[in-house]
Amino acid sequence: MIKIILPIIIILVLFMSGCIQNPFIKTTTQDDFRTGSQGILMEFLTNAPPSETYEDYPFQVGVLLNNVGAYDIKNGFISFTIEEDYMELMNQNEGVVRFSLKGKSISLPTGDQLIKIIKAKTKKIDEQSEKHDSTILANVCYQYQTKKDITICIDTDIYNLKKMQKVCLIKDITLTPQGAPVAITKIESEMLPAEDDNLIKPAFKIQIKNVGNGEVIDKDKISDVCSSEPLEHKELNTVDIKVMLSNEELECKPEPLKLKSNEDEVRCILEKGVLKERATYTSPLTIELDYGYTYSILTKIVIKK
Amino acid sequence: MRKIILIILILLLFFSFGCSPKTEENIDYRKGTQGIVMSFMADMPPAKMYDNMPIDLVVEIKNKGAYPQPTSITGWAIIITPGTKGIGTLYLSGFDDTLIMGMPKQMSIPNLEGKNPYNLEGGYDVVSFRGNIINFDSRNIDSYNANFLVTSCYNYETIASQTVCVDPEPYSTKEKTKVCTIPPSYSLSGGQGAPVAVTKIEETVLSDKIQFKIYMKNLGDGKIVDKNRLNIDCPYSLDYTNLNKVYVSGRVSGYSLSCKPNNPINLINEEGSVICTVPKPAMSKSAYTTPLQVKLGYGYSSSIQKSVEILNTP
Repeated sequence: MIKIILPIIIILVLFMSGCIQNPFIKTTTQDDFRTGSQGILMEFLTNAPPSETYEDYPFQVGVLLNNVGAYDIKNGFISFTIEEDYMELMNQNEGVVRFSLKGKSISLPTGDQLIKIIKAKTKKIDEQSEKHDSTILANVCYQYQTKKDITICIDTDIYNLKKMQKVCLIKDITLTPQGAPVAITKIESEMLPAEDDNLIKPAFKIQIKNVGNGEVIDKDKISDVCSSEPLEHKELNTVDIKVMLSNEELECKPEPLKLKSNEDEVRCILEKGVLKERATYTSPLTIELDYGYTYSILTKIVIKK
Repeated sequence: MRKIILIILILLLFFSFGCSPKTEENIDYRKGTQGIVMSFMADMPPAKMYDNMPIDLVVEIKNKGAYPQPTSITGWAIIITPGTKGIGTLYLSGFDDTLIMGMPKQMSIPNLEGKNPYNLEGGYDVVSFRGNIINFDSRNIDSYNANFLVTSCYNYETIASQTVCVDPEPYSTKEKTKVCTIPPSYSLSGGQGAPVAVTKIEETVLSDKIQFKIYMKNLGDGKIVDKNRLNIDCPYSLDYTNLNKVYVSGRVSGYSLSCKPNNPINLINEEGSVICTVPKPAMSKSAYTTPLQVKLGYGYSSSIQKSVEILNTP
């Protein structure tokens, strides 16, 4: 018994004296929820639609949506596409359904879920056929945001001429996905000389990648993608970027960014510059990517006579 | 068995709360290699904080060297560094001042007496930097790792005393009883209660003068700064033109040392030497011992750093 009590008392004494930190206390911030490479996860409900049904017969199509990312969707769309020769929606307005869905946060650590069910009906199949294999497609379109703020080093002494201790050193930062389907994967910092000899210009090369299972679209065209409206090429793979260094907005090029092969990089610079006479310091770099995102799932349904 | 465990626990408790007795030591106050020593007071600031609250950065300052000494008249040790109210200045940098606002960028180092026969620990004081962390929601920031770099720039002096042998005729073949002979060198170890120390003195008797080669070295953890540029360049514009400059002076046998190269002496790789001479006493005089006092004047700069993770209040 004493063998058990003794170590407990020793650990307690060490806690009381502050010699070791309590490992059970960990502060959670919104940044802790910015993990993962998905925004919306969508799946068909079991038996909605059923794998088999009969002609001229009503059935339900249901999808479960889960916002596993860290951004709240305020205006998303789900569209259902069916083979109109063999099926019809019982309420034609349900072809495109709007939704809102909260993302992961301190108050909702797993993200919110939503079930959408629509009613449909099979039509008569060909007289010569015993059955018909049909497909139902669900397509989700939503605006999303990737956000990352990271403390970076502003080195005002690019040539190491000052013999003063530096609080930080410039280094490349590799990042894991931030709880969104488009991720910031790498930040490369550089301090560039300015025309004014008293200034340096902090510049950043930011690598961005589509790490989700869908397509990036223009954030203002999400309703078009989830409808039968035609899409132009320029409306695909478009990401709006806003980068702030402390309270100064950086100039980024290209803006908006067009992802090529699902990834690309943007260069941002603080044209205003930072005074060289300042000591090296750390400052928060806040990157916000705004975009639309879409992805589809499909399921088969056998319509029997 | 239980009694033994109980005694061990009580001892452990006393150790962890810092209640174990200390033994007093005899301290030679002109020993050591430190000058002004800074440290952050525990949990001031803590390692983790939240936004939208005041932040206090408290720096403890100890004068662990032997400069300045209290004057015999007032009993106070006062150094006046031009442009400051005390012995020097503390400079605060390394953080984003648009997120932590209102923090003073510099504060005077209070006048702290050096170690002396009446105060073997040296002077002690605290300097507090207070500011306010803004609301991170207004900037859309989740967290920020603030780095606080406190850099001291202050004037300091090293006084090294060494008993030397003055022998006008060290190479004489006459048989004379001498009270001392000149050694190959005088070694001074352990510092003289200052970050820059005289480490060795070599004495040579020339035809008409006595030459002392004085070796000095930076034994502290900071940088030597030209004392005449202290309030102009330190700490943000330090470079090779104003670093590692030491002003040397001294006396022996009532004579002031005449040194070459001229002041300031430039240290290379934190160490250097200077050759000083005094007139040689008359040949008729016998060898005798006398104190050689060397004074090194310089500015000094050192830094301490602390990181604080500031989180957006959930």
